[in-house]
Amino acid sequence: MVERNGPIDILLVEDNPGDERLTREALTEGKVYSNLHWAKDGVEALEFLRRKGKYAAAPRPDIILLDLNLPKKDGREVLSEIKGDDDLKRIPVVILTTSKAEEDVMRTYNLHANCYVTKPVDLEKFIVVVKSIDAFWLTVVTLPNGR
Amino acid sequence: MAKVRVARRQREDAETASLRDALAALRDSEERFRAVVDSANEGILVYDRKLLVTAGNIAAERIVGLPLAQLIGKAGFTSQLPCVREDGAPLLPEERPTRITIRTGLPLTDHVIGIVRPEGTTTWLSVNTAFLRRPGELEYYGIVSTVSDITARRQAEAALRESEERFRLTFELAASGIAHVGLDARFLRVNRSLCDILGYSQEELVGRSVKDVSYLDDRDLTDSQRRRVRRGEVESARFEKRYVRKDGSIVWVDLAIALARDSAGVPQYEIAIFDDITERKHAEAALRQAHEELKRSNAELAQFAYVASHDLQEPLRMVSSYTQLLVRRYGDKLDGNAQEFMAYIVDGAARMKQLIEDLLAYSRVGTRSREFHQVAVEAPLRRAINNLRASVEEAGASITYDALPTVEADELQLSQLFQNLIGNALKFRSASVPRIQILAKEAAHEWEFTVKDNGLGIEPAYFERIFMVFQRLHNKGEYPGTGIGLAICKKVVERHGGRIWVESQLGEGSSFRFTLPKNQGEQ
Repeated sequence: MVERNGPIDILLVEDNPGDERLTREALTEGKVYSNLHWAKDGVEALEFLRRKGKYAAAPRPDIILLDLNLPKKDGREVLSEIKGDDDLKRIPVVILTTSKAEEDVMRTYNLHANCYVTKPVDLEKFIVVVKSIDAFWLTVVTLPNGR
Repeated sequence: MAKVRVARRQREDAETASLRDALAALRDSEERFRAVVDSANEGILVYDRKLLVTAGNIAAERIVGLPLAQLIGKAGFTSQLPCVREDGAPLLPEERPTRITIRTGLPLTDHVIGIVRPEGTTTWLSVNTAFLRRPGELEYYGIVSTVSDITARRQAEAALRESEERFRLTFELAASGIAHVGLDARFLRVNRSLCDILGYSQEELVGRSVKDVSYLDDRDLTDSQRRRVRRGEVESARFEKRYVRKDGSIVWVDLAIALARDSAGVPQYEIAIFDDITERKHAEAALRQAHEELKRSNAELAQFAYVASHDLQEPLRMVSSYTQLLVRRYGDKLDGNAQEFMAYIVDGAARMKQLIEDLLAYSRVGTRSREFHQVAVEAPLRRAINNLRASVEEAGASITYDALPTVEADELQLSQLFQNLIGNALKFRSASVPRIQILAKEAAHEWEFTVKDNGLGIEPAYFERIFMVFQRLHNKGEYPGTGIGLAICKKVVERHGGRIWVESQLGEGSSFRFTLPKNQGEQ
């Protein structure tokens, strides 16, 4: 575990404002000391990561929460660009999936996501998920090839 | 005078001697002739001018069937025995060969008549006649007639004719088109069915090249098959090809070709048999198309189920999560009713989430399944039992199983199958300690597996219904679950080419049975 003093910078790549707000609330409820940055689609996410345009001053996130269903550039493409970029590939990526089925499909692409999390319907469970981001992928998350 | 007498006697003696010699020579000649006549295979009868028989040989006796004594001095056998013409009509007196000869003044050659025997059979004779004339005389003094028995020859000819007629009829009436094709690829003979298949008349086809009616793209195929037959690589060849009918339409034909050779093995012509399979081809194409359509629509449906269930989850999560957030943040400001209503919202959303997940799992049995491998059935069974460990321990259940075979299957799906069946047995247990047995029975082409429990049992009325999606027999309060488990079992078993059913009595436990083929290749 890396020693950390300030809040962790989280980049959430998600097109649904409801989910963005929910993640923010869950971080609050879970008392996770963090800055949540929000990219609404894949193009924005890569601009943020590469500090392009309005994101010139963007911090390098400690972790990326990546939704799969995104407009313009979907999560799979974003992931493959991140993992193909020497500068970015070390940032842990948590794939947010809607179902176990979606996770299975993603795994077949073998894109080296750090872990997969199925978004729970239950708020309590979601808070647990978000809290675990703080403790990093130790509890709820499933490690690739580690099932 | 005496001298003269002596000379005369001498002359007379000489004449006598020469006459004696001549007579002796004549006698010799006649004996030789008689011997030749008697030993001849053909019957010979000699008639005088009045057409009375004056002589005959042994063969004539045998062939005609009358002793010579009965013939000599009479008008010949045609007047004594019932005779017929070649066409079977009774022989009239003026039609007797000897009379015809005299009337026409011409000898007869191979003139056929028959003698009808008392037992009804006919002896067929070939008769030749000739006039007998003395040297230097124009007028004849008799007629010689030779007869030979051609009954056997006639029978052979008739048999051949019958056989040819049989084959001609077979050729002509066959439902298949038949053609004899010359080595120059021209039709020599065609039957009616072939004319029907190709839409040409017999006259139009005979002499025409087979290539004229062959579908252009299929000609090479025919040529290569024909070469194999001609070279003797194969005795016959059978293949499907197209022909163009006279009206321009295309006809599919199942064609068989073979080569007719003479006794020396030299190819004479080709025998070709045509069966019109156009309808079958169309049916096959229609079936293929329907199959493609079905595959596409199934894929669409699977895609639809996936997308629908996936996209349904997001709004659901919003409903559920924000309601919970509301309770969490503002619960103390809400009264009991509001709390209860919120609880129903959350519960409803959770159940819907489960339904969607189950539906997705069900649709994935067909769409996201793995290939079949050899699976020792015990492995997925153990995995299923292991996954159910908590429930097994909680129920204090005993699970036993037979020696289990190896089958060709999707191992993950088998494990899911056992997990659902054993899970049900645990869930619907009776008051007694659950005992679950897994049995395997071998049949000719398949294995029959049984998951037997001592649980609640099921009424026969529900035997079919329990395998349908979201069909439940108990209310949600008693037994949670969406009712997808057995539907998934059915889909898994059917995907493996097997059957699943249940045997049960209420209160007596249930036996869920399913079959798996030994070899998927036999499906």
